[in-house]
Amino acid sequence: MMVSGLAPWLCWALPTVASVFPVVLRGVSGRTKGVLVTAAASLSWGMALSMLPGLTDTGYVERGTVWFTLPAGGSVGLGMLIDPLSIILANVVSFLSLLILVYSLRYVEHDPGADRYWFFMSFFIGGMLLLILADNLILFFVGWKIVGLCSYGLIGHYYHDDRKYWIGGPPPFPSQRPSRCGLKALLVTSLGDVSLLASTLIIYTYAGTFNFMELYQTADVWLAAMAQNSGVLTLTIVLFLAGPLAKSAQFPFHEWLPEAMAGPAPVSALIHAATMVKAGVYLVARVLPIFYFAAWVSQPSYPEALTFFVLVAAIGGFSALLAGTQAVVAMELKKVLAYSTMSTIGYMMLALGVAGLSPESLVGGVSAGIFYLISHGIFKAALFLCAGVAIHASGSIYITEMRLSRRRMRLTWAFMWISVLALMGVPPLSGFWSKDEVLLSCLVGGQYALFALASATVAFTAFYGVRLLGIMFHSGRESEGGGGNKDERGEEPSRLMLLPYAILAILTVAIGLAGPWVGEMIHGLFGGYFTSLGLVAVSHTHSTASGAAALPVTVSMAVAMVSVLMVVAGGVPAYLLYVAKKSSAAVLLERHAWLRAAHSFLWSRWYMDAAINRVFVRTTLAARGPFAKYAEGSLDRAINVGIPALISSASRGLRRIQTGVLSVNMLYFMAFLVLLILLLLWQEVV
Amino acid sequence: MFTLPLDTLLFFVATSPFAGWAAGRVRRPSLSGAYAASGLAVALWALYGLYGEAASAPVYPPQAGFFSASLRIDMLSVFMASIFMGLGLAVTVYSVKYMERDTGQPLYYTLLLAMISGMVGTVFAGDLFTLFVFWELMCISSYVLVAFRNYQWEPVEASMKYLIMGSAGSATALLGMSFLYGMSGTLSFQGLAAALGHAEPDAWLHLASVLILTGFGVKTAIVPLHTWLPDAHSAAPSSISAMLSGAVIGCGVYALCRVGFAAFTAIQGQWLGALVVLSVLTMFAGNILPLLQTDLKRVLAYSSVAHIGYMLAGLSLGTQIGLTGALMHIFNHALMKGAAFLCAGAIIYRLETRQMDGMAGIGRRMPVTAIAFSISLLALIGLPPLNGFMSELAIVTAAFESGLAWLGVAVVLNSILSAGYYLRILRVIIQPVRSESVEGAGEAPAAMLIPACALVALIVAFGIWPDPVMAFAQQSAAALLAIIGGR
Repeated sequence: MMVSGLAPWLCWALPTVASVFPVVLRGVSGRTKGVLVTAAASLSWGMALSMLPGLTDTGYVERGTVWFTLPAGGSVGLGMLIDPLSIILANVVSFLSLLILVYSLRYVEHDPGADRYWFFMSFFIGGMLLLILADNLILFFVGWKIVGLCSYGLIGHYYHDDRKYWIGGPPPFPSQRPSRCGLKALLVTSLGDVSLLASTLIIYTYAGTFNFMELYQTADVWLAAMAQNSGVLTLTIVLFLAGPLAKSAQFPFHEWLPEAMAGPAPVSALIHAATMVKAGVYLVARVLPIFYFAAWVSQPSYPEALTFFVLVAAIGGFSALLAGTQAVVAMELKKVLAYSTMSTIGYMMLALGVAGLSPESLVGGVSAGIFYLISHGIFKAALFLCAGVAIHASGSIYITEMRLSRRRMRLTWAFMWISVLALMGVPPLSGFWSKDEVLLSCLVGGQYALFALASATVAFTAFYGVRLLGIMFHSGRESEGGGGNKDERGEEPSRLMLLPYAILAILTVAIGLAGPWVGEMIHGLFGGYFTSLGLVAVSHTHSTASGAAALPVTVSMAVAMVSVLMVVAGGVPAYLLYVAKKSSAAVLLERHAWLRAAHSFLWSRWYMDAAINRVFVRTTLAARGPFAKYAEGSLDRAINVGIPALISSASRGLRRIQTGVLSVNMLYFMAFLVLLILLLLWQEVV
Repeated sequence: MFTLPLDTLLFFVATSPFAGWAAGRVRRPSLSGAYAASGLAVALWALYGLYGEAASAPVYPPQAGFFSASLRIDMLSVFMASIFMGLGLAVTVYSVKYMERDTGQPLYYTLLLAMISGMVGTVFAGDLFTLFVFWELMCISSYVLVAFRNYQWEPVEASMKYLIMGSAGSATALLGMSFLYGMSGTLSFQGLAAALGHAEPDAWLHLASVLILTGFGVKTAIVPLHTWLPDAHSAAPSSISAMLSGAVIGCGVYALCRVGFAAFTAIQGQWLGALVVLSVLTMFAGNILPLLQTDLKRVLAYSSVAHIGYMLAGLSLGTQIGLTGALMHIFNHALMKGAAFLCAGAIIYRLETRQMDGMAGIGRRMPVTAIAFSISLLALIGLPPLNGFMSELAIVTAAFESGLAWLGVAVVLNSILSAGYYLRILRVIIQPVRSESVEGAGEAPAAMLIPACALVALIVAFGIWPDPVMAFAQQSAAALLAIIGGR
């Protein structure tokens, strides 16, 4: 492969090292620190680009060394795994990170916590790239944890809980402080992390290695060992999946994502569009070959491994619908975007899950998931950056209060519309082609229920997309003609902030126009990759490498028609309600009781947040009283008073042997000799 | 004469007084320190040359002339010598600033170099007599160094006790060596291994082992022979405390290892079994005693006793992995305790008190020192990803593999117990400032910070990348066990 040896190492090391400078350097202006970090990110992107030529090959390159050997034998490696998956993701992440950092230069200009911001951002990007490029589960976990910790620091950036940074509401609904939001994100993702670690250790016990490729190549050996204890494989899969599902905010670990909007807009862009939530998708894609091998290729096959794909697909599909419905009623701009992120990640998980549910859909599913990952990263990052501009321009987080002026924010309006249309899946933008591929892979795999679920979600997505922009930009009176409204707000942001999402919107259009070709290219890449791994050729007699291409064209056309139909079904009512103002949401709600019930159900997030609160938070708080009275008191006394008393009296007692009198010390000499002789004699007897 | 590193050191020992006199003439006493440091640097470079040779087989430097001695340099010797000289270099550079207020600096550096030469000679020794000669060189220099500030009563008294007990120990060890000579007719380690390796375990062998263990046990601070240590290590200048805790103790462990695995393999089960009990005793005593102490250096001195307990625990398992853990811990402990004492010395240099009550909040006025001190304290507790963790993990794993799971649990329990006083020191450092003297204190001088920070950088580096040290320790352990095979 024509990949320079140092490129992957530099790719993740540069932002990690650069993160130290904003904190350590003194007497350097905040602007310079930002530029330094952005420069490091751009170099990192350069390194990722230099790995692109390696995409043409099929197969992988591994470079590494032993990090440390465990005392009992076995070792943990320090290496980079370079294959199509990691190259694509490294490029996506580094490119989007660079643009978001450029945007941040102006965004955090006057923020007193800017040093902290640059440190966490740079460290986060380094950690994300590390987890993408790592070649073994332990190194991967280090990057994964770094990402989690930095997300806590970034989401809770306004940790001093200034009232203007609170999210939630509008009154009378409760608001949340940013510090609590950061903590919630950390706790929920840490729960997943612990589970992932447990699963990793179980796998290590059977496989004796942490390395991804070694796990795949020796899979028949350790799977056989695992299968001897029934249920272990299922347990491992369930524990393993908790990690990526929590990180990617899928049901049932999704509650941290809406609250993670408490951070600054570029943070939301980075964490929820470009990187952190994609880490879970990456991990699922990374270990997918192993479980696919277990389920379809190995002799004997292990049907337990199918649990992996069933869980991923079902949870992905359900999360897509769940979030889509919640976005329909959300009032905060960033909450709508958060739900839409969760929904889209659901699509990606769905695609990856479907990929393993039948041999025909392997390549199609994986390439659909990855294609959607790329296009989603681009348009969602653009949306979040626009959101930052919109919130800043209007001074409010609620879309109903924004009333932005189309005239004065013409460019932002245009770019935001492009991104939303891509999100909805309107041809010929990038979102359409990638969503299309996901739906197609569902059909190819014969998963009709999931296909129906995904299609229904398309309608919801279209609805909330149009609703979002309708309320934001089109809420003023239409008929004011050329004058524009006096109470409309907004102005175009500075070029440094405008440029990143302009680039992203244009890229969305470009990828859209080249859509089928890009899809084919990714399809071919993964087809070749899986063939080189031996997954494809063995599994079926007729060619599955080009499952989608083998289908008659009419099926592809039909899927596209269904997709467009769903977009229209969702988009037209929204247009009528929010843009053309033929009626208003309030009027409709008043007239139909079932709509009101549905609205409150969706507004309360399907009562899931309340349920989690009741089960975990309130129960714990309620248990405090009796626990303090009965358990804590005595336990507290025993541990905090008893043990110190015990040890201090031991210490005081033992101190007395230090008499300071030399003759006594020499007596100890004799005592030692006697002690030794006794010990030796005792050994003889025993 | 002997071998290049040793010769270099002895040369510098001999010429240091003259360099000191010359430095006195130009009224720059610190030049003698620079001279000593350069000597150590040259010796380290010479040691590096030996490393490649010793890796494959023990080196027997040809001896001739007036000062001939029997030397046997294997990987273990190089390993220990690198610890002594490396720590010695850091301490020497540190002392340039730390001892500037003292008189008699040329004497100090001469003695320091003599102590290091003694330690290096001990580990290079190929027979018991050479070992004893260099051992005594080390001991006597250390007695004088402890009493260096002889205008105060405390160092003199501490040194007196150290001297009496140490000499008693050396005499006992010599008696044990004479028994070994009587039994085998040879003093060289190879000879002892050959003669006694498969001998009948009789009473004389047991007696010899008891005497050797007691004799070297004094210097190694096995409880209850440790009573000199808290006094000596607190009263000595902090740079010497670093050397005593980091290096001299390690030399004691080396002597036990070397003689034990050469001469006592016939009764290995028994004497290692006794050592297990002693190690547990040492660990617990070393960790419980400092919990209520108020003198900073005394706390660190007791903690050295505890760490000796861990090293002996690894040693007493007798397996390759147990020895690897013990040797690795000697290395890591030298780094950690050396850094801790150097930082403590910096604080004492500024505040002129050793009592922790008067040090509240010093970290806020001496941030770099405090950070370095904190890292060394956390490493001493055994937290990953610092270097103490890996060596303790090796010892615990070895214990579990040898079937002595309770020993591994004891080591872990002791680590937890030790956090009690290490964290107390940490708390003292970061408390709010309470006294005037702390308020007015400034950061430690750069010449003192650089060696401390260099050691701390190594602590962090070897914590994240423990493999080089582990590999080195593994080779040394293999070399130690190989002597039984007759090489």
